[in-house]
Amino acid sequence: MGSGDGASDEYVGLEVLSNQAQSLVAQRHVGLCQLAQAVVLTPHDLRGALDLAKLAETRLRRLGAMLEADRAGELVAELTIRDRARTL
Amino acid sequence: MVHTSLVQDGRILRERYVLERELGQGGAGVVYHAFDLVDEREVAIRVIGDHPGRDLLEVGLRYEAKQVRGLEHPGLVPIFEFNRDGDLLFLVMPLLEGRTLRDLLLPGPLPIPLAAEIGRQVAEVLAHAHGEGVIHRDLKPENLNLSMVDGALHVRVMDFGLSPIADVQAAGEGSQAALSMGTPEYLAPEQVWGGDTDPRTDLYALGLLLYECIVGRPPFVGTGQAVLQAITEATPVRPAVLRTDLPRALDLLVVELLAKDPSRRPGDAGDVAKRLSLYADGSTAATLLIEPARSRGAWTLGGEADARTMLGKAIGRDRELRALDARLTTARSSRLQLVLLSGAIGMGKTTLLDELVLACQQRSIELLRTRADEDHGRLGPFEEVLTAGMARRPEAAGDLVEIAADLVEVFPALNREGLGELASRREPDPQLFAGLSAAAPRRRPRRGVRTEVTRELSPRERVDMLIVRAVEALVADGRPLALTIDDAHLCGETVELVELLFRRLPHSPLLIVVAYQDDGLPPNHALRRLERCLRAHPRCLRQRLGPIAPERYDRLLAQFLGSEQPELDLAESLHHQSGGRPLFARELVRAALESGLLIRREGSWYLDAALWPVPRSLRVQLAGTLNELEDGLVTALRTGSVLAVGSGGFELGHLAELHTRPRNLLVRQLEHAVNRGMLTEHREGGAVVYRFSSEVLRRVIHDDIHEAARRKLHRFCAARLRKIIRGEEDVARDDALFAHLLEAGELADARTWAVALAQRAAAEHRPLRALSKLSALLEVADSLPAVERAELYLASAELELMRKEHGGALSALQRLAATLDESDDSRLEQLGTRGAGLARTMGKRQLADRLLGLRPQDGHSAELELAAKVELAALRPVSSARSMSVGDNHFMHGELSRAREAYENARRRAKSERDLDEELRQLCNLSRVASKLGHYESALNYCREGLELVGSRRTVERVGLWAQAAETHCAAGFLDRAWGELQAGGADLETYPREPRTPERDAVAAALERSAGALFLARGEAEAAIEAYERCLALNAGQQRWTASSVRLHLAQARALAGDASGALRSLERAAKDKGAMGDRRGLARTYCLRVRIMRDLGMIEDASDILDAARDLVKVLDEPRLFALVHVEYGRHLLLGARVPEAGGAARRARDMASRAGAQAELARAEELLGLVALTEGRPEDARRHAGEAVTIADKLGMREVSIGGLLVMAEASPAGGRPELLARARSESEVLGNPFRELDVA
Repeated sequence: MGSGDGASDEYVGLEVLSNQAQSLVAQRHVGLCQLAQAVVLTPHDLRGALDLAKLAETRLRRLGAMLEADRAGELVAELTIRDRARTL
Repeated sequence: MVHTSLVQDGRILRERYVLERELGQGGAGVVYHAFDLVDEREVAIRVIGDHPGRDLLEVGLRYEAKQVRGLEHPGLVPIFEFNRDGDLLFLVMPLLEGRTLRDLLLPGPLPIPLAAEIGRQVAEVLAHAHGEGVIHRDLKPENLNLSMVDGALHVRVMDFGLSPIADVQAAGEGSQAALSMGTPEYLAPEQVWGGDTDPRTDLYALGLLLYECIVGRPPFVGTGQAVLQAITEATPVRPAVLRTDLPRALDLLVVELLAKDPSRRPGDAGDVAKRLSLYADGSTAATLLIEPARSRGAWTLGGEADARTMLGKAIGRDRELRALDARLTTARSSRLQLVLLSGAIGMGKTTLLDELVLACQQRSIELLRTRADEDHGRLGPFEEVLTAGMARRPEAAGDLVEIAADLVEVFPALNREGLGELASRREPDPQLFAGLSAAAPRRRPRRGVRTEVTRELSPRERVDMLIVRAVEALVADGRPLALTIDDAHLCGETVELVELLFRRLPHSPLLIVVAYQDDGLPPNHALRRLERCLRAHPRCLRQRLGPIAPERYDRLLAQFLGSEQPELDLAESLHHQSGGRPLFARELVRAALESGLLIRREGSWYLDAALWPVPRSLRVQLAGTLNELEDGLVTALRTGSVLAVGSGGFELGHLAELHTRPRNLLVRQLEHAVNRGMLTEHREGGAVVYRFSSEVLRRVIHDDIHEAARRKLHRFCAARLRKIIRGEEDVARDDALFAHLLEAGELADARTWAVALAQRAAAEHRPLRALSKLSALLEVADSLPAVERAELYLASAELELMRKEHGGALSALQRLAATLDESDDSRLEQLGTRGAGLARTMGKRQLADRLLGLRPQDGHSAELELAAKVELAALRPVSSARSMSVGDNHFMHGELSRAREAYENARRRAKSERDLDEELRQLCNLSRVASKLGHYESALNYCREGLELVGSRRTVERVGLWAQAAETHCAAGFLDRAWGELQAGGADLETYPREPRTPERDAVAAALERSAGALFLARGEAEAAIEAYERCLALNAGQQRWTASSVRLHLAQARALAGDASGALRSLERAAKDKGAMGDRRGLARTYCLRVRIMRDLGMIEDASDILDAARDLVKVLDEPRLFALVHVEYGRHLLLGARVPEAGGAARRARDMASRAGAQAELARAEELLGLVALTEGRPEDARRHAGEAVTIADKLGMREVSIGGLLVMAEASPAGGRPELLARARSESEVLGNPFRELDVA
C-alpha cells in the first residue's frame, strides 16, 4: 500500500493470520482478523475498510460473538458516517 | 442509614449470598439482586446498615421476621431469612417479577375498576395479616408488586416485617425522624404525632393508596414539614371532586379510610375488601403492565415541553392538541372559549378529552366532565356539572343565596352539596317546576343581554338563567374552569344551553368543549345550527377529527404494544383495517392480543393471521350504526361489501347490475352513506367507485349476510372477473378474484392461483404481494390435502426468507413440519427436504432434522442432549451400570468414601481368599480414590504397600502399581518422579511377552499408557499424550467402558491442546455417548465443558448454548463445587462473548467463590481470568490487571499455560502502552512452548 506507517505490514500480517485461522476453521478468529484489517485499512481505503467491517460484523454476529460483533457494528457506523460526510 | 460503600457488589453474606447488583434504595435499606449459593437461586436481599439503637432494631426485626414467616397468603411476599453479617443486618426475600404500583402510577391515575381491584387485593392481605397480629405500618405504592398470573392481576405486598425500622426512626426525633424516612406523604396522623399504631394505621395507608390510584397523587404533597402538618390537620380534597366519574360509594370509602381519628375509620380490612369488590375489575391491568410508562404521558405546562409530551395518547392529533392547548390558555385570561369537537365514531374524540383532563390536572385547572344522553334530557349534563362544581367550589353557594331554592328544586342532587341549607331558608318559586314540566313556549334567548332582563321570562328561560347564574358563580372568583360535554349529538337541546352560556358569560375563565359525532347529523340539528352561527366567531373553535394518516400508525402501534418494534407491514394493515380510526385500531389490537394472534417473536410483533380479528364490542357498535339506516341502503351496502372484497371498493355500475332498484335511488342512498362517513366516493377511470371508510366496517357488513347468499354472490363475482381478466395482467383484479374465490369456498382454484402468484412473486422479488394471499388461503385450507398445504407453507417460508423475515419463515416451516407428520406421501418428503434446506440457512438445525423426518437421536442436535439429560436425571447411581464393580460405580458417581469402603471390602475378601493379584488391583483402586480425594501421601502408601506385598514375586499387577504411583505423582505435580515410575513400570512390563496377549497384561499396559498420557498432558506435550492415549485405547478395546470413556475425554483434551479441534470433538462425542449410556453425569459434564471450549475456539458460539444449558442442568443435580465452578466459568465466557457482560460477571464470581471454597486452584485460575476479561470489557483496567495477575500466578504454579496466556493477554490489554510489549512477549513465549495454534492466534 506504500504508506509510511507500516500499515501494509500490519495488513499483510493480519491476512496471514486470517488464512491461518481459516485453515483451523476458527471462524471467530477470522472475523476478528477482518475487524482488525478494517481498522488498519481505514486511513487508506474507507470503502474497503467499511466492507471488511461489515463482513466481520456479519460473521461474528452469525457465530453469536455479540460482544465483538457490536464492536464491528460500531466501526461500521463510524465509517458509514465518515463515508457519507465525504460524499456530501 | 446504609453506606453503600460497605456493601460492594460481589460481597458474600454469611458465605452464602453473593450480592450481585443494587436494585434500589429506600429508608429501610438497600435492596440487592443476589445469588444464593446453597439453594442456587436468585434472591432479593435487603441490607440494613447502621441505625441508632441497632440492637433493639435487630431484636425487633428478628421477632417480626419470625411472625411474618408464620403468615401464608399468596398476596404477601415472604421473608426467607433474617440474619446478620458483621455490622450488616439483612433480610432475604424472593426476587419478584412485575412492576410496582409506583411504576404504574408514574404516568397518571388508573382506571377506577383497576384501582378498586388493587385496593381489594391489598385489603385482603391486610385482613389476613391483621388476623395474625401483624401490622405493616409502611404501606406505599413502592411496596406493592403487580404482576399477571394466569392472565389475572396479582398484587403482592412487600416489606412486611420492616416496621421495627420505622419504629426506630420514629423514636428518634419525633416528626423530624418521620421526615427522615423519606416518604412523609404516606404516614398516618397517629404516626406523625407519635401515637400508638394498630391495624387501622394500615387502613389509613390503604386509603392513601386508593386516593393516589384514583387521583394520581397523594392527598397531601409538598415539602416535609408542611406535609406533616397537613396530614394531622387538613381535610383532603374529596377524590370525587378531582375525578368526576368516581362512584359515590368509593368516594365515601376513601374519605372514611382517611379519617384523622383512627376510631372513625372502618374497623376491618375484610369489610373494606368487600366494599371494594363491587367496583373491582383487574382486566385492564394486562395492558397497563406491558404498556411503557411514557405511553400514558400527559400534557405538561410549559412551552417546548408541551410539544414533546402532549402527544402521549392522542397520536396523530398534534395539531388539534395544540389548538385545544391554545384555547385553554386563552380561557384562563377570562375569555370564555368554546370548542366544537366533531368526528365520526372511533375517531378519538374521547381520547382527546382524556388528554384535556390530564392537561387540566397538571395546570391545576378544575375540569368538569359530563356526557349527554337522551334519557336524562337537556338538563341532565348540567345537573352533573353543577353538582360536581358545587362540590369542588362550595364557596360559590354564597353567590347563589337568592336562587338556591330554585336550583335545588330543579336539580335535587344539589341539595346535599352545600346549597341544601341555603335552599331550606326560602321556598322555591311554585311556578318554576310546573312551568317546566308543561309544554312551555320556546324562545331563543336574547343576545347581548345579561341577567337584568325586564320582560317576563318563560319558565324554561328562567331555568336556563338559573344555570347561567350557577355557572357564573362557579367562576366568580376568577379561577379557570373547564367543562366538557361528550356525545352532545344525542341531545341537541343541551347544546342550546351551551350556546346560552357562550353568549351570556363572554368574560368568564371558562373553556367549554362539546364533543359529538357529526356523521348523519341532520341539517336542522342544534349542533349544525351552532356550527353555522359560530363558524367565524373568534371565541369558538371548530375541530373536525378525520382519519389518522398511515405514517402515524407506527407510533400508534408502539403505544399499544410497548417498546418492541412491530413487524414492517403491521401498521399498514392495521391502518387499512381501521380506516385511520384510532379507536378501531385500539380495539383490533386488543382483540388480537387477547386471542393470542398478535405475538412477539424475536423482538418484534407479528400478526399470526391473515386478518385482524374484529372484537365483539366493535361489531356491536358498528351494527348499532347500521340499524339506524334504512333497509334499502343496508341491502346496497351488503352487496357492496361483497363486491369490495379484496379491493376495498365497488363500482356503482356493478352494484346497479345486482340491484333491481332504479340507479338514481341507489345513488341517493349511497350519498347518504357517504354523508354518514361510511363510504367515500371516487372517480376512477371514468367509473364512480365507492370505498368503505374502514375495512372493519366492510367486514362487519359482509359477515352480516347469510352464508349461502354470500357464497353465491362471491361465485358470481369471481365468474364475472374471470371473464374480464382472460389472461390479461391486472394486479387489482387478480387480487379481487382471489378474494372472491376464497370467500366462495373455491379453495382448489384459489390454491392454484396462489401458487402461481407465489412463483411469480418469487421470480420478481416481490414477496409481499403473494404472502398475504398465501396466509389468507392457509387460514381456511384445512380441507386441502396435506401435500397442497405443505406446498403453500413452503412457498410462504421461501417468500418470508426473501424479505428477511425470519420469524415468519420459522413459523411457516414449523407448520410445514407439522403437516409432514400427517401423511407418508413421498412428495411430502421432497417438500420436507427443501424446507430443511431453508431451516439450515436460518441456522435452525433441530427444525431441519424434524423436516427431514429425523428422530432426535439421528442427528447431533440439542434434542439429543436434552433426552440424555432427562434419562440421566432419572438414573440412580447404583443401578446405572450393572457390569461395573460396586466400588467403581461409587467412584464414577463421586461417592468416594463409599467407593473406598467397597474397595476395602473387596481387598479384605481377596486377602482372605489369598488372591494376591486381586488384592493388588484393589490397592490400585484404593490409591486412585485417595489420589482423587487429594490424599496423595496416602495414595502413594497404598502403592508402596502393594509393591512390598509383591516382594520378589512375579506378577504383572506390579506394573499396574507403578502406573498408579506415576498417576498420583502427576496429579500431585511431581512430574519427574512420575517419569521415573513410568520408566520402572515400562521396564517391568517388557519382561512379560507381548504375544500371546492376555487381558491382565493389556489392562496394566493400558494403565501405564494412561499415566504416560497424563504426564505428557501435564507437561504440555500434546502429541506424545495423544499417542499414549491412543495406545491405551487400543489396549483397552472392548474392555472397560468407563475407563475408555475417561481416556477418550483425556484424548480429546490432548487433541484440543494440539489444536486438532475436529479430532477432539470426535473423541468427545464418543466419550459423551459412553458416559451418557453409563449414567456418568460428572464425566458427561466435564465432556460438555471441554466441548464448549473447543467449539468456542472454532467460533461455534451459538451452537454451544444448548450444550452449556445441559451442563448447567447436570451440575445442578451434582453436588460438586469443582464441576460447578468449571461449568460456570465456561458459561460466563459464553455470556461474555454474547455481549451479556453483567451476567458473565455474575457467573464468574459464582465460579470463583465456589472454586476458592473447594480449594480448586485450576478452576480458580480460570475464573480469575474470566473476571479479568469482564473487568476489561466493563472498562475497569485496574481490576482487570488484578484478576488476570491472580490467574497468571496460579496458572504458572499449576503449569496451565492456556490460562496463563489468556491472563497475560488481558493484562497486556489493560496495561498502559509501555508495559504491553513485555507481557505480550511472555504470552508469545508461553504460546510457543504450548504449541496450540488457537492460542497462537490469540496472541498474534
